[in-house]
Amino acid sequence: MSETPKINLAAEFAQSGVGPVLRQLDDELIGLAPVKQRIREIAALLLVDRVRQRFGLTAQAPTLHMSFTGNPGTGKTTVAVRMAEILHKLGYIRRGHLVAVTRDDLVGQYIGHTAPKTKEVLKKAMGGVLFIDEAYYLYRQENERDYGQEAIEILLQVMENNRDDLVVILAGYADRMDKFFHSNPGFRSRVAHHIDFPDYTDENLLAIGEKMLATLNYKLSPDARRALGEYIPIRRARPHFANARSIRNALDRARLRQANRCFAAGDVELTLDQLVTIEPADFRQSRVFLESPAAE
Amino acid sequence: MPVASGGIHAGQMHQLINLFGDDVVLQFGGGTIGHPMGIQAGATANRVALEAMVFARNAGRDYVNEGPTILAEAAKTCTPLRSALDVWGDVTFNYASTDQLDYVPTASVS
Amino acid sequence: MRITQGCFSFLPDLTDDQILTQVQYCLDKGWAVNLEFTDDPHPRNTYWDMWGLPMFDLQDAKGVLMELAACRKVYGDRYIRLSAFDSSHGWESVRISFIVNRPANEDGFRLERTEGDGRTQRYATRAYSLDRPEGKRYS
Repeated sequence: MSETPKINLAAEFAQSGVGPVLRQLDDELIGLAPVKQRIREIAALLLVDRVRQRFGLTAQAPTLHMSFTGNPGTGKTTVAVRMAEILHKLGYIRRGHLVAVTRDDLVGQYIGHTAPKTKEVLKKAMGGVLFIDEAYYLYRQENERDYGQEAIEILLQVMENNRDDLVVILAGYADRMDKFFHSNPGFRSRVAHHIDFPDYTDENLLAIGEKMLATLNYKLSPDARRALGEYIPIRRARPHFANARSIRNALDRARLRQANRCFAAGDVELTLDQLVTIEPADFRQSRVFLESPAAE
Repeated sequence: MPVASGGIHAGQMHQLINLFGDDVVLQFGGGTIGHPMGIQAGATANRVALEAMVFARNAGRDYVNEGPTILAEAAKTCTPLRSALDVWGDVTFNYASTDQLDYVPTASVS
Repeated sequence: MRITQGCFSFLPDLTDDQILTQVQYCLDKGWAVNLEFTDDPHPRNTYWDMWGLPMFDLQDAKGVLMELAACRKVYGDRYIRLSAFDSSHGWESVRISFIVNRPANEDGFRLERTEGDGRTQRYATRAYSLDRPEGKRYS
């Protein structure tokens, strides 16, 4: 007669070392509340499953492949790296490294080129996570000489047979990923978790901008903060808006203007504070403001 | 390059690997020709002991402490090694020194 | 006659799991792992045919096992060996090399005697497998 074993999930959680990774995720990424919630839920599921495996209740490893959908610059690659760490800490993958590829890394240009290319990528990713960005480009239906299908078949086979060696995360725009899964039901049946990455709000982007500047040892003057706050919604309305990436580009240009402004001041003594601070003029000179309807 | 020689035998393989590593010349003299089953068996025993120990070290086992166990496991499929361990198993270098001091050290300058 | 070339050749044939542990040791040390095959087992035949390029940027040994499985599918009837190269300063050489696949029947070697001037005798070892043409030596 075996006694009922005592299981303390909080202790298991503390022992696994996943807590610091989740905290890092919270600190590093602004906003993304539904994503962070989903990651916590997946971590809880994997922790419970690990305990169940220890008591022989689960025989098969769970399916861990995922799909991240959302617009560019919403943090998909960063979250994928954290996910790889979490999976490694819970013992589901052996190494915990991330290999990020796109279609061109997997598909060849001529017959016989695709299989070795895909196999090389898979070899490198073994024991870790394979992150395929814009995965829907693998399948080009219109082009009959396209070799993407071969890469898809190799991936599907590996996703099924090497489930404890490799986790695959597919990423891309939501509507195109939907179409991709529709025409490739093999992928849909192998992907366990679909996580959608919503666009950042204006406040999120302002906070992200300030965080980026802080890591570069810059700070915004109060007027500059207001200018950036006005910049964001106008930029969002313009084409090719890439969330956090657009903010980084804007900050790079602001730093350029700040440097030139300080340089143009000539033979004057500057304080360190002046070198560190971004002024509103560094944003106001942007094309985004000059070409906007409000400027007319 | 270090050279180990002089009374070493297959039963000490874990200590030899631990002390000298991979880059060493191991000279088993008596440990080869004194093997009860013959010289070739002596060489085989030494080689099998070495390979088993290197394998265990690479696989991450605590070969220093588990050395005798690893050798016994390897000896299950290798009769020459079994025989070598039986004959020389308890030969170690921990024995009372025959080199006794013939004076008692006393301080000459206080 | 089991040829005894390379590390672990005196031990029983390595299982795939055992090969995994050894390869992981090599990868952890940052050595480049390489697969080679041949059907001429003469001990002086040091240059075997390479299967693909050396793999040094892998994190996990499973990747090497994948290559080994592919090599076995094509050349499973020949000798396949795995070697690891250490490129650090002062070493720059192969650190470990072991056979991971053997033919079902290992024929072994015979001694060939060539007579020379006077009563000179020259000896050479020759593998029995070389009696057959390349490609058919072990099939």
